[in-house]
Amino acid sequence: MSATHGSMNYIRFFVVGDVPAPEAIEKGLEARAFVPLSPSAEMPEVMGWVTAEKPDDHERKLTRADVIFGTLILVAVREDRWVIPRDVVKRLAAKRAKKIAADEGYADGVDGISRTMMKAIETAIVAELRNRLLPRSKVAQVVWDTKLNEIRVFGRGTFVRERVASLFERTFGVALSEAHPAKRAALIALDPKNRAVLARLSPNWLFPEAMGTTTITMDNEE
Amino acid sequence: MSATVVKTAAMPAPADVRVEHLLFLGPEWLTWLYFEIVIEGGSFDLKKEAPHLEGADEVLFAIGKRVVLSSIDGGAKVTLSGPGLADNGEIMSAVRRGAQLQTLALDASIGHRVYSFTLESDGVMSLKLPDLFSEPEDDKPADGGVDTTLPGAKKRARRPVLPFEDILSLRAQCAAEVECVIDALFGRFLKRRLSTRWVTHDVANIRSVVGNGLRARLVEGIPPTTTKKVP
Repeated sequence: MSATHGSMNYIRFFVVGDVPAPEAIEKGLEARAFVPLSPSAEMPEVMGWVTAEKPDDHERKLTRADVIFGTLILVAVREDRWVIPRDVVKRLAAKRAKKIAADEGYADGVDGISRTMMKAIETAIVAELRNRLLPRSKVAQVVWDTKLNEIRVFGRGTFVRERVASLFERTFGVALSEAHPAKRAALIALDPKNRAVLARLSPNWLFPEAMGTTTITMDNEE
Repeated sequence: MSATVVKTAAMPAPADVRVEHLLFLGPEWLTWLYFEIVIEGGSFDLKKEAPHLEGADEVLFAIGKRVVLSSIDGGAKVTLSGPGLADNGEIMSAVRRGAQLQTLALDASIGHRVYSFTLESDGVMSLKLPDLFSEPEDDKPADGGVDTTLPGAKKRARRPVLPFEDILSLRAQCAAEVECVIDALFGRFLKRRLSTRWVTHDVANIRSVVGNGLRARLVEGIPPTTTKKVP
């Protein structure tokens, strides 16, 4: 799903707010630039801005030359998260606890390991696994057409609809309205009479007899 | 009623319209679009809704190779793929039983470009762009009719390698062109949906198309009654 090659799969959003100046765009992107996950950090995930051309190059500073192309702004959101199955952690922690109990000569064996100690063992196991694994990455490109003041986010699902949209809003101080037909209907300029009709609109069955009713709802009555 | 799509830098959703109660408009819009293409023969004059769009006076649509329908309560789903989905008996049958379209694949000719795209009822768009580097005249070989596979024949000119910014701009322009057409049609749908003629005209036409389509498939040898388009 790319803005620059192949087929385009995207969700369209209307931007509610003014387009910032190039300096503000650069500053906003830098403030929320992607910072890679550290195995020792507590956070299980990070999200931030990267260049669309090289999303794996997180050390590259985001400058306006990298993101502003005429009236278009092209940038990408990268999210990295550790994905370590809980069962694997519990199994390795149980194995480690058994070894500790044996080495320390606990009279009760593994049962002598307190809950606090068990948690500390699990935390250590997770940190060790993080040092051996690569985090799972997700990247979504974002194109902001400043002439139309709309964005296209290349991807789908909750990651795009909620997380990318939320990051965009916080970075640029604007609000986004997804181009869902329901939201487009609400945004279309309507005179007061038709706005009132829209506000009380209800689903219209093409074949009410299929729904067990015999009348076609006339919800458009003035 | 006047319904114009207003693209403005600062226009929040009006407070008096609760968007979450209008989510049914997505499937209704796609269902209406499908039947509008079938009824109108796929040709639309969108000059009124999209006056600045090149080729708006005749935008041609064809139903693509994928349609997904689901029942209004979001339960059963039917996916149909392959050619021949326009005026398709299974689609008619599903709609007759209360289903609405959730996904609709379309081919559209806008100006001199042809696009293939898929619309979802929640607003997701999948767009396959046309060949952006050829002009229509480039269908002929570069040397004017000579078989270029013959030894010694001149080869066709290579595609230009455009700068990154130009590729991005061109692709964005194409997407905007398709979105303009979709917005124009959506505006037309909304205008009709809010009018008192929605039931007496649009719903009546769809019921007529579905009824005739199913009758034709049920009774062999008896031609369907003429689809009378309600003016």
